[in-house]
Amino acid sequence: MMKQQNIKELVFETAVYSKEAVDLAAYVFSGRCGVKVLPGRSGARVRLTGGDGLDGLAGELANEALNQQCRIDLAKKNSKLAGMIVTKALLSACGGKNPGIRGGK
Amino acid sequence: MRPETLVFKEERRLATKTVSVKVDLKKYSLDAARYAAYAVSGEAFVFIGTAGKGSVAVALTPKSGAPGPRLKARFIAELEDEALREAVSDNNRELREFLTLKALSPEKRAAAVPDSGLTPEQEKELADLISQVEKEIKEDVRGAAADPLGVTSTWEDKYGAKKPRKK
Amino acid sequence: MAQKSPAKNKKAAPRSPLALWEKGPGGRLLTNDAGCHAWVEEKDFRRVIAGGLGAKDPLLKRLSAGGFVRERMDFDGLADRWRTLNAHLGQGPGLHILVLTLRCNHKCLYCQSSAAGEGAKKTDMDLKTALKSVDFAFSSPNPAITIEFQGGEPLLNWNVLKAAVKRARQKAASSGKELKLALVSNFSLMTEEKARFLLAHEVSICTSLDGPAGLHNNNRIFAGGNSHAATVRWIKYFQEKYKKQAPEYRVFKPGALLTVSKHSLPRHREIIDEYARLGLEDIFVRPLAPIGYARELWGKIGYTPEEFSAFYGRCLDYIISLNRRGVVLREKMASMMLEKILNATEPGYLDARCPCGAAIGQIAYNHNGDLYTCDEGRMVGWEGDDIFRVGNVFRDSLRKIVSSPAARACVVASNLEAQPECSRCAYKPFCGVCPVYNYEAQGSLWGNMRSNGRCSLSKGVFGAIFARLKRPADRKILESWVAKK
Repeated sequence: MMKQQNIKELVFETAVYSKEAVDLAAYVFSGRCGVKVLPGRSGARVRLTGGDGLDGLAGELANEALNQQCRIDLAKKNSKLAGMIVTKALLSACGGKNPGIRGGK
Repeated sequence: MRPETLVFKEERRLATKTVSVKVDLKKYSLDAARYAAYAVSGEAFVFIGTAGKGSVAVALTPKSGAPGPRLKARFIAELEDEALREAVSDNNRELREFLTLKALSPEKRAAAVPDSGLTPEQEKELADLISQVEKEIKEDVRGAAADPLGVTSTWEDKYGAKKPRKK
Repeated sequence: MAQKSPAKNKKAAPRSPLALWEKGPGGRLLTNDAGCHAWVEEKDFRRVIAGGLGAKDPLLKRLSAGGFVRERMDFDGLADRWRTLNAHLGQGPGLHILVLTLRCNHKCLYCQSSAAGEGAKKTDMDLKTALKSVDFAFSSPNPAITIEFQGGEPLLNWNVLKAAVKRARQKAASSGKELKLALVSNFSLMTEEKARFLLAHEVSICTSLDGPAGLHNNNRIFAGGNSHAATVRWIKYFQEKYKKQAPEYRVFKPGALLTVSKHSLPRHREIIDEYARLGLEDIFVRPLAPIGYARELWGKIGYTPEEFSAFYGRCLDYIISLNRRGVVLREKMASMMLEKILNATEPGYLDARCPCGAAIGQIAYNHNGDLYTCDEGRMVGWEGDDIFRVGNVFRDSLRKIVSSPAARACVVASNLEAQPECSRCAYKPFCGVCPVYNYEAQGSLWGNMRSNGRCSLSKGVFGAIFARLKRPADRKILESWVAKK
């Protein structure tokens, strides 16, 4: 591996990581180091620039991309269920029609 | 200056602590492989890439401490577990949605019989006791002591049945 | 729960039960959306999950009762349990935290409230803001309102506190809503006159007690004297008042909260003994969060989730052993979780619910009238990042607050059904995530639960509780903590 000073690049293959997941991960890490998402042949290239600890940050960014991808995967399956809960919670808090649920403190 | 390029294929050669596991996508879904990788991401840096047709390769680099083989074994166990969870979840998705919707929008049910707070055996015992007491009360009421003026007695009880006249 | 008879269609293949699971020593803990739980040995797990329990299977009755047999589910019963467990979904904001001042006369090592010095009077809530905040609280659709006075040290803004208390009582009387008032104070400025006022207006009192004097004073630095002595003095005072009661008003038991720092970890017995000595019946073993001042000093006062979980387990065991000796003492976190686990009742703990209470369950009112999703969100604002600000008490309606982008983002991010780790977790029916923690510790509202300290810590606590529930003798004591009276 040719290590150029303070620069590291990761390639996230499109077959495994969606662009949305990579973009979100890049955004989360944008406060910790320089992060740029560039187009690549097989997938999105993420270039990190910064000081010490860039190896660790790259690893954590890869984990974050996976975290975001798993969340996207879950949303495809669970969106109806998740939506019911959020809708009910927000509607009730606004004082929307309450079909009579009581309880709690 | 050329930036460093960390592509999955390079990493296995270069990062000696990294272990790699090939996952057959005919046996496990990509979602399951991704989640199993995610499940070990607390202890490892995880990177997934394609590995030929119908497979992905999961590269696991321990963050600290955990030896590669143990991490690999853990990943495989998580993959099996996730495959099971995926099946259970798929099997039950509609049921969960039904139950949640039912819970969020209660139906009006027929008015329930008020709950006495007793078990069926206790209810039977109470019913028998009430029945016995009612019986005793009736017997007491029929007794002369309870009816000194005889108002509850019939004419026949008091004077006897009317006898037919002799012809 | 009434059980339905098995499906008559014998051709249907067995169906896997609605279950989440967690691996433990010797087996697996099963739970489901309705909050039922059951343990199965590892050798039986595969059979159970495959839906392969025959009519004569010894596990059938027990697992059917918990809704873990697909063909024997009582849908009405399970839906009822789900409903009571998630009763918060039908309510608006119930907890309203009025931060009367950021001034404080203590300098606690782990202070999360970003307290300012006693001279910083510009951080006092003025009368107009306080009264408006009380009125705002009563605009919530929740039929039960709790107003909690916090700070800094709220007694430093005594006149405004008094006015707010009176206004709240008036509003409660005119609106018909149920009102609870609570004061969180270090007691160093408590006087007889103030105590009488608070008692007469049924304000429940809560303080911090970190253990015996040395430990408490080490954590909670009070330049004006002995923090521990003041705390103990007034705990005893309010306890005496509680015992005597008064014909004109209700007196509540005083409460105390423990904040666990690194210094607490080797001293669980001393801390618990101090609570027992003072006759306190609840101890809330609360972990530190890396928010506010605590984040800066984390290296000195913080610990790993594993360290806290081990400490928590030791505390629970010791408290249970004291219970066996007749001491009345409950661990508060366990009690709240047991309400969910054993009674399928929502205990009103906003930090462990789905979605979290950010704006929809609680609102924090800053001294200047700005409103935040919660007190932790307010602390992030104090540090210069207003991401959790949802509006202002003078300019915005409750509807606008609750539907603000920040509120909606927190609701969505804390929905456990949308979190990859949580949606699979056996503790999901009883747990919750904190978007503020996630943001502060991991840089996003969603966080990443696999490397999230709060998640690890919560799993440790649940693990400790369920492990003790599995032991019959311990279970009996834990059940007594939440037995319906």
